[in-house]
Amino acid sequence: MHMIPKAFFKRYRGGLPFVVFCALAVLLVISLGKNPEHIPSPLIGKSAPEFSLPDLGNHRTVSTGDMRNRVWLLNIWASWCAACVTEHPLLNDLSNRKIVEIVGLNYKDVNADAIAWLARYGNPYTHVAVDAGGDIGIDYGVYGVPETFLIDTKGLIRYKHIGPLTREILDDEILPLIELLKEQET
Amino acid sequence: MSRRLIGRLALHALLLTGLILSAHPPRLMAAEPLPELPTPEQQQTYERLIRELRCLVCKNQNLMDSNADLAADLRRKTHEMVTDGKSYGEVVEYMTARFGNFVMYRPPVKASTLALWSLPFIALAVLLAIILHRVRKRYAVRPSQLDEAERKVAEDMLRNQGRDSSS
Repeated sequence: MHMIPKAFFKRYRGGLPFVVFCALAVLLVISLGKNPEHIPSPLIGKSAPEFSLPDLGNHRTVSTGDMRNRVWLLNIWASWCAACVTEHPLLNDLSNRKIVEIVGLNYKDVNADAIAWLARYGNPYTHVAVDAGGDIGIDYGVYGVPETFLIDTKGLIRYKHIGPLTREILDDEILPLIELLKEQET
Repeated sequence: MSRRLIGRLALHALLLTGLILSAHPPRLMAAEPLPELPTPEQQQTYERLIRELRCLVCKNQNLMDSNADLAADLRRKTHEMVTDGKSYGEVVEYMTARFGNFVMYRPPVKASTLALWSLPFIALAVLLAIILHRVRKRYAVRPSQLDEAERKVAEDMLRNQGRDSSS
């Protein structure tokens, strides 16, 4: 009888490298499916950092205070950003359907370039805040332009998307959330 | 423990230490010359921060090494805050509140990162246990594995040998 545990131990030890290998393989396969670009934002549920910035193309200012009591999207973009061109038709469409107000944050850009870019690709924004130095970008934790924030009537960030928007993200996540927020409001 | 066993363990410990040390990356050159700060303490805080904060867009570079645009901006922000008298902790809090824990090369110790932090120690303990077990087994004095009959034969031989030498 006393031979059984010993034999078992021997067999187990021989198999240890294999077990470790399998565990590692499973871990790596799981990680393979994850997007390394996706970093959960700590800003969700927090109030949107306040800003008061020049409004592109006119002499007024645009501030977070102006948007209080509204559900709105903050879209961070720049004329030098190639991926912004990809998502832009979606924003134009959203604006045409008058679903939600979109404020642009023109991040580290040159005003003339930004104006030309909007003339070429269309302007879905009710306001474009000019963040030439990128300070407000840092406040919003921006590191991959374009980024899009959904902000509720109390000024809380409810959703954040890094990178270009897609039809799926808009239809499956952002639009339902906007509906929900608008319902809560009434 | 025998002397050989101790020597053996020491050798293993040395090899392990070498392995751990060799895993440390070499110091890299700063992407741009370091700015001067008002006091040596602030200079130290600043340098520590840009070494420990990650450049988020460049994967595996800290703010010090990276010449990405965002890294330059975050360096500037860090410089600004430290010059304003903000402490190491305050800057870290500011950065993690916006960019998440990922911005730190050294993740904070908390419930969600416990596995991450304890794994190396667990691995080390398991490794040491395995080494100790193997070394002990190899140098242990094996107990007699003779059965009754064999023991009798051996005893007879010993007795005969004694008789031979005495005669």
